[in-house]
Amino acid sequence: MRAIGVDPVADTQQCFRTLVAAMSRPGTVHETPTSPADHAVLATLVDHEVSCYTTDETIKTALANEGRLTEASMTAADIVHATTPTDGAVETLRSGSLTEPSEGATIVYRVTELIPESANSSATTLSLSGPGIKDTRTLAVEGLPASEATSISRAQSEYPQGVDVIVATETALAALPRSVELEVQ
Amino acid sequence: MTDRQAASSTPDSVDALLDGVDADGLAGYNYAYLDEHTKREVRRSILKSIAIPGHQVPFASREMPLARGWGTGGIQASLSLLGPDDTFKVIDQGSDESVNAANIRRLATTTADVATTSDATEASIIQTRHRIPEEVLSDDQILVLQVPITDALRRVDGSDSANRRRHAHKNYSKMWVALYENIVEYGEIKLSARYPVMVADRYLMDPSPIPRWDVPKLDDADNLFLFAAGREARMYAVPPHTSVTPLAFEDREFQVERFDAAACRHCDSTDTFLTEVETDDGERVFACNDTAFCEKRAANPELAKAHHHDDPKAWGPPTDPAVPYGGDTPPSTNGADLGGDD
Amino acid sequence: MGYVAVEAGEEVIKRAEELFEKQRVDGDTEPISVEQVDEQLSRLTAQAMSEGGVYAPRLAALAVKQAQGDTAEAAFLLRAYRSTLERWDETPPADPATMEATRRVSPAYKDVPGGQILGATKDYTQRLLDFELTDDTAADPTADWDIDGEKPPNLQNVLEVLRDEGLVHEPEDDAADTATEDDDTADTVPGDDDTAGTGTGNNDPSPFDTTREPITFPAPRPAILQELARGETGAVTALGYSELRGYGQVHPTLGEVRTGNLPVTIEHPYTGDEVQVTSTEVTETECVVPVYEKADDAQFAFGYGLVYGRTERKAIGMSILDAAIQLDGDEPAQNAEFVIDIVDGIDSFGFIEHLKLPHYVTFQSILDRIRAIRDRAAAATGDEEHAAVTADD
Repeated sequence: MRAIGVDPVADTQQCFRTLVAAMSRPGTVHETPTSPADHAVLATLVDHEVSCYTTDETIKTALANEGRLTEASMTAADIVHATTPTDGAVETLRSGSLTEPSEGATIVYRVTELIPESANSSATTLSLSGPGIKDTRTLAVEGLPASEATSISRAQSEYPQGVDVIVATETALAALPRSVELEVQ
Repeated sequence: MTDRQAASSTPDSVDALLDGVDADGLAGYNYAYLDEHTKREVRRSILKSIAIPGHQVPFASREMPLARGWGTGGIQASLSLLGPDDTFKVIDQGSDESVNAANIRRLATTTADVATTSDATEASIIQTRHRIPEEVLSDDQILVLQVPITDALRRVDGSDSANRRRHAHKNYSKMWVALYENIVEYGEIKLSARYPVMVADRYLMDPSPIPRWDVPKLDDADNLFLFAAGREARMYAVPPHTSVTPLAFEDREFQVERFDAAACRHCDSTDTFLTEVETDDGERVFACNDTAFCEKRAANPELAKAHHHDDPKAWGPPTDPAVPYGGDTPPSTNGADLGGDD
Repeated sequence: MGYVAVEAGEEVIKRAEELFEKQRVDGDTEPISVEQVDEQLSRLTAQAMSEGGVYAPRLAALAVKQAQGDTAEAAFLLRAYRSTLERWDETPPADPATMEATRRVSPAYKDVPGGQILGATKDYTQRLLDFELTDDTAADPTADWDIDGEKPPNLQNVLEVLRDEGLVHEPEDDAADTATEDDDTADTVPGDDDTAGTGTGNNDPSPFDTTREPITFPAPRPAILQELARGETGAVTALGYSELRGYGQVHPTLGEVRTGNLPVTIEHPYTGDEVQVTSTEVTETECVVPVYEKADDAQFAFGYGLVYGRTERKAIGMSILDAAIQLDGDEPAQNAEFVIDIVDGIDSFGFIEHLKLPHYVTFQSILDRIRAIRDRAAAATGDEEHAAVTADD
């Protein structure tokens, strides 16, 4: 992972803590220790015990060189790397079963900007409530079309089955676990 | 590594493991003892557990140099979380000084180079066996609870696969029937610790053997709770601001433990969880179970449990059953009709 | 003082460890060497390896010495050590036909191709304490045997005879028509066929590894076999016995029991050839059970056992449990979840002994409940007496 600027021990530990903070408080934005943030997340979570879908050659090579890449199609993968919005394909990802909902996929989107508690953003604005959120929280995501956000909401509509979403900019990330109620404004 | 080389660095206990580390520095072991592969497995399961509050996520639990049943799940969780900037507190039944807590703390300090503390307000990560600290935790703290038995439904069925199906369909009727039968037989719900709770109105959860006293702290908290079971290989979580409701009936409300107007003999507190001790001369005295907070209260009897917060949130009711519980956490806990005069 | 927590810092832990060590070194005798344990107590070290899940005879001897002979403790040391080892490859499946068998008996047939080879065993010897061992001359009774230089033979497994005749039910046949025990077949989520609960794709050629993947039930047979192979010897023996004793339908005939050195090969990282890197001493057994699942195509049910070392009772117990679990049923040894939950020695040892840890908080909570219940009962009795008194007024 050093090849892509990620210290395999220290940076992954910090990135993991970033993910914990983001998942515990959906819609809050947190800086990752290395950039780009989506690479940091994959370097932290992916090894050969989980299947991964990505078209990003840099991260693919970095993982494969360490024997940490088990590839799968988008609909079969445990961890999906979306360098561009999926055009609604997020609704076809693995969502786990009722007895084993944790087998649902994690999808990491590469987006442009994250604006927390945004009032009048032109970017897709999400209103969130549920575990981890005191009342409601808003997050605007530049680089995620409203249609994709609606698809995410549908992919997460069969709780506890569903997919867990991470949105990552160059330097930061936020999380939308399947437990949140997501409204696209 | 040949047998011969290996034989000289076999860890027999945390003690000998650390002797080896002292000698070779951290060169013999990865940072925080666990290899990165193990950490990834634990970390993935932690993230999934946060995303599905109250659901038990299976993870490939590794053997640790501590025996199963002694906190191997908690250790795997803590060692996967800890970084050199963290401050770590470990308590066992409320005490920092218990032998097992000291052992776990040593493993962390030596392999993860973390600072440690007994002050619950200073720790970024607290690993605990069967208690939640008296002081209200804040939003940048993580509490890792050690879990021996992962499923509240284990009380009514020994089969995990049958229980996982019940959780899948939110079918908890067997538990409700068991509680009802308690009341028919004993007049009371006789469950003590490990009191079953509903999380986010979806999953029935076993909060680990914390006393009922601590259960209301899980509801709408500012901090994250992680529940880790090494032997049973399950991880579950309660994120902040998540509803956690103990099971009860309208006419048998959830009750915490009460201590008959007793106060702690060290610090005189009447609003902390106490444990009783039989003295040599046959007397029964009570003392705060949270020993670190007891020291603070002995120095400052007026110290609020949320003294380090702006919002004066209270955790835990008064010990005297006659004193009405006016905390912000529902439900009322002195609704018990003991049939006599208090 | 009465019941107080064991409060101490590192000093007390250290002292307790030193007292434990004192028990080993306190006598007048010379310290036993690791080599002596390895050579002279090999059945003990084999049990530790078998329950520890790692084949390393010298390490096992060290563990046994350190644990002062306690097999659970020795297995625990090995498991904890194994956890720290980096895993870098898997071997191709090892073929038991390549085993150099030093012992092979077949109870199913009077005579078998390759012959009945008794090997090293005390099965037919009378169990009389040999007091001459107190003056051990370590004389080798086979010293003047006329042993030819031939290597032990590769022997065909007796069960192949039965398989060729089509009499043995192959467990792989079940995979095709295993119905899911989950009742979420009503789910209409596309692509969701989570039946075996393994988490790895159905096309994954790697064997299921319970140390890397958590088990959920129904569990795949490789996971069950792995847990049995690593299981605590007493537990596997006792549960296997329960089947024979009447709590089940498995009274097997052993096709054979064989002990020998099984070559371990890997794929050479550069040439790709299979090369032997070492061999492990194992005991293998296969059994057939006259329980026929299909009346119109009667086949024996079948069980397999394989353990490190020469603990035959564990291999046989394992094969009984394999067959029992495949047959399924209400008896304890036929319930996969029950067997796998309790058969692991490190889990059972840890959890049972954890009861020694302080539990005074939970106990306080329990005391609160029993007092509340008793108060309520006393109050109810008081009310009744009061009511009785007033009625008489």
